[in-house]
Amino acid sequence: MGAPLATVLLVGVIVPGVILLAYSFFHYSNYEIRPALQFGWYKDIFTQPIYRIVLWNTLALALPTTLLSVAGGYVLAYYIAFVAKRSRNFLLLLIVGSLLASYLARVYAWRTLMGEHGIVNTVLQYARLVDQPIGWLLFSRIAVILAEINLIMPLTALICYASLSSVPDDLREASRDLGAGRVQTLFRITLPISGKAIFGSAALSFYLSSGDYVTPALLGGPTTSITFGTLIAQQIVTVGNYPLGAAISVVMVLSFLVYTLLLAAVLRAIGFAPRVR
Amino acid sequence: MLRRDFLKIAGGGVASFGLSSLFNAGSSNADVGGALNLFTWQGYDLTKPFESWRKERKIEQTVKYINNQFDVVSILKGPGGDQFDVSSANQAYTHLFQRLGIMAPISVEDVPTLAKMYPFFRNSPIWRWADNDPRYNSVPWTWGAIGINYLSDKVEKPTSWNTLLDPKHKGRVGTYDDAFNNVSIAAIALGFDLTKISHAQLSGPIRDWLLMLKTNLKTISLNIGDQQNLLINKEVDLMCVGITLVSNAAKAAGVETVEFTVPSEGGFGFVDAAFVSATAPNKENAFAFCEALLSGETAAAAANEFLQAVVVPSVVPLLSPATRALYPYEDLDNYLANGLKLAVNFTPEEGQDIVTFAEINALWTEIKAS
Repeated sequence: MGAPLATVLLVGVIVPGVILLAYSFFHYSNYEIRPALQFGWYKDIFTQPIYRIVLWNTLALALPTTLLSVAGGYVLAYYIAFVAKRSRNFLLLLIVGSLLASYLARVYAWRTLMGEHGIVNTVLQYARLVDQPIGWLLFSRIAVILAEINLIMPLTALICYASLSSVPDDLREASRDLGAGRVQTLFRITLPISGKAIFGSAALSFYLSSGDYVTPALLGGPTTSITFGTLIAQQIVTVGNYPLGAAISVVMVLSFLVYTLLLAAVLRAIGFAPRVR
Repeated sequence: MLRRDFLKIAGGGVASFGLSSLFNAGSSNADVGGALNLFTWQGYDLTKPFESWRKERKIEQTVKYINNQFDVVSILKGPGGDQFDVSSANQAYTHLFQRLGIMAPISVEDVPTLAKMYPFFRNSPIWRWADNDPRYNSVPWTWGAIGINYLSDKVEKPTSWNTLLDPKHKGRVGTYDDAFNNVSIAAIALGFDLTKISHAQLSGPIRDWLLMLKTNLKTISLNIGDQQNLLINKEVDLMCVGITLVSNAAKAAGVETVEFTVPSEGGFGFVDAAFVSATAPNKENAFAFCEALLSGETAAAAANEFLQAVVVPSVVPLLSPATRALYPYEDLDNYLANGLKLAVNFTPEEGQDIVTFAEINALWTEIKAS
């Protein structure tokens, strides 16, 4: 039973990963790639100031996106699982339906919504809430974060709902019977049980938003559009420097690993994840 | 047969051949038909203007669009790159692309109208396969000047490239993600020779100029089409990498106030050439497409579509008055040699203090990140 899974993992994950790693040591000059074992790209990544700036840009997008996507997704999932009994299926349909639209179309839709002559600014000016269009709704860090939340929150909501819907009602009832209020029940019962979902959705949000290169390129400003995702895309698609693109990718994967371990430790420390026995 | 009859027939044949060669581009290619796969700038596929040309030859065209010139090498040399027949090279890239082995040589037998181009294009080493080699590496077919597009109802006509740096335009300027064009704009604004940008110029004044430009940018668009959309949607008032065709596109979208101007320091010129990929699976169709780009009504249709210039004298009378008026065709060789600044040398020889593509790309990445 494990053999098909192992094959998929081998072909789809391990082999490409090894190829990527190998490329990261190759030599590149003027569109010509030569196999080699050199660490120049890694040295550049850890020493050149541009990569610190790109790291800051990436974290400045990914961390708020993750926090707000997970929080918003959890609240939405909680409402669907425990409050919205009658409209549960309809709300789930809305969430799943939002995922059916093309990713690129949704990003472009933000331009129609948030541009200076877009729907939001037009309504705000018509209602005399503002005199001039709000410029930072588009081509800014905020615009990218809002768009990424819009893209990612349906996923976090579904992950959290899957977990919350399996929280036994009698556990929560027992908690209230024993005198705990709603908030205590949430923090002492519901959140720890759904901790793995929080962990999973926080990890997924961070990976998706860190690696995203389309949203920052289309909605970001001149300083916010360059992230690790856009840099990798530029090196591989435009410059043809596969080795540098691969090296940046390897560093990103390793940083995801560090983030994941830190996330698990933090969630355990605050009691939102079961302790490892 | 009497001599008189023979002369009538021969004369009629010569006359009909002359007329058909004037108006029917590409009809001399024998084995044309089937697939034609383009990897080119949006618009340069000429889907509508060349519709009847394709129908006559039963050519089925597919197209993938370039975002910038550096895409061309990555895609053509990458997986799946061997499916493309024709791509596009700006004059600054022809020798790089040839050196990287992505171009196929083109002879006058393949594309006959190459022999009828203005001398500037016919004889220039930019498009020649090698010294003393009659073959070409690509087919230059359209050219123009890059200037500034602007909204005439929002800003005054910019008279200098340095207008883009004026603090009153903060957040109202657009450009697109292309190192070559942005570095060239900075170089021309600073009065440098585009054929010999030195390392000191690049890391000093050009870098500073681009950093000042960045403070006025609204965003850095992914491609020229996106930049154009921002201007047409009035998200920006000025567009750095401006071309004449944007005004046409704006009018088609109902915006009458998009204008084009070449600042006082001069525009820099671009000459776009179509090249046949070294791995082109449909070479005959590719050559026929190149011939259509150069000659007859198809060439005129393309020039009118983009409001850009042509390279063959016999096409000039077929241009619309607006297109015809753009450039001094009566003294074109002089204009091309002395009036239009072309950036050409980003593949310098060893020892020359001239920047390379890699260096301008690295600077542009630094500018974007700073």
